[in-house]
Amino acid sequence: MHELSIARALVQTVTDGVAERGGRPDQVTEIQLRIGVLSGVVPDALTFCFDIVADRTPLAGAALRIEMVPARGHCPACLRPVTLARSMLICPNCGGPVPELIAGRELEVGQVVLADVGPAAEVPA
Amino acid sequence: MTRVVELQRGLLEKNDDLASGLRARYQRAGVRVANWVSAPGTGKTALLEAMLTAAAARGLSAAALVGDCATDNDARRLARSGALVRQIVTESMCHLEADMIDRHLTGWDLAEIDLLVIENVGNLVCPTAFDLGEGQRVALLSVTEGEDKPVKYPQLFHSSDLVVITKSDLAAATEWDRAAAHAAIRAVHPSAVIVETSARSGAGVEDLLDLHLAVPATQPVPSQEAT
Repeated sequence: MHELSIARALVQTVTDGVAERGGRPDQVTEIQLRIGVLSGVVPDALTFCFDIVADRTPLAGAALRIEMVPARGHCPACLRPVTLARSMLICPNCGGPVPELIAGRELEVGQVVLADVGPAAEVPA
Repeated sequence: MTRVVELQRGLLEKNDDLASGLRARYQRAGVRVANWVSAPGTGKTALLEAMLTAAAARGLSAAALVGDCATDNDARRLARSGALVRQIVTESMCHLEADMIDRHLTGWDLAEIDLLVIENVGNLVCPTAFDLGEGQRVALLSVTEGEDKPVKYPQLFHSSDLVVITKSDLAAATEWDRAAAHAAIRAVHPSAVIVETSARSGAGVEDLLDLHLAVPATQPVPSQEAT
């Protein structure tokens, strides 16, 4: 259940990253994530942990939009990139080994969507 | 009205940065560092005790950091080898992170150490996401586990250049299928080095030590992120 650690890292990354770009973390409504199928992270478990960890932080209530990234590698025999079946580093075309991954281990935050209500203090009462 | 911020940032950047710092420290000190990962009960501690004892017999200075959810039982076992040993009690956390390694190295002169082995918390999934700055990640698999485990847990076996079979003295009793086990490892990591060991008989322990020493202390480790 290392998703709890990852959820904590997610809250920190988004909170810091949004603030560094002049945004307000409490306005975040949606966080886009790219998770590789070989990253070892289970999306449902991460969502579950994020809701718990984000509660009582400025990110409370933000939704995760998770995009799973398939494993891709370069087949040295076919001389081209191939998409791999989930666990096997075997070329689906020629059956040979695929030693190098091009994608599939991602754990990345992409876009973060903020509900822009302007400077909060200046919203008329 | 909404606003979109392009963060485009790795989630484990903080751990990866710390791990990079550790890797630089290991390289400056010339210490070889291995990160041992397996399921609970694979026999990591028994094998590590045998390997540390073999290292001491060769006059090498060895050290171990051993992670467990609770107790310092493993550290006390490993200390019998004469190596420097510290227990990392993770308080129920299922893996080690770079900042835990950093904290537990305090007071050790890395330049005086030839080989440092980090025995991760027994778990096949969680430790694989966390770089500890190691020069070599080592996956261990006993003959009492299923031969197809590498295929079931590809993340670990894919990210480990050295795969250690443990409890080889029990291979006949468990009708362990060597060819099937090797094929499963090769399916997820075609170039992995495989070594068979027995902590009980001592088989393969010297080879295992050689494989740990063969990794140059300055060897860069592939990044966690796909390139």
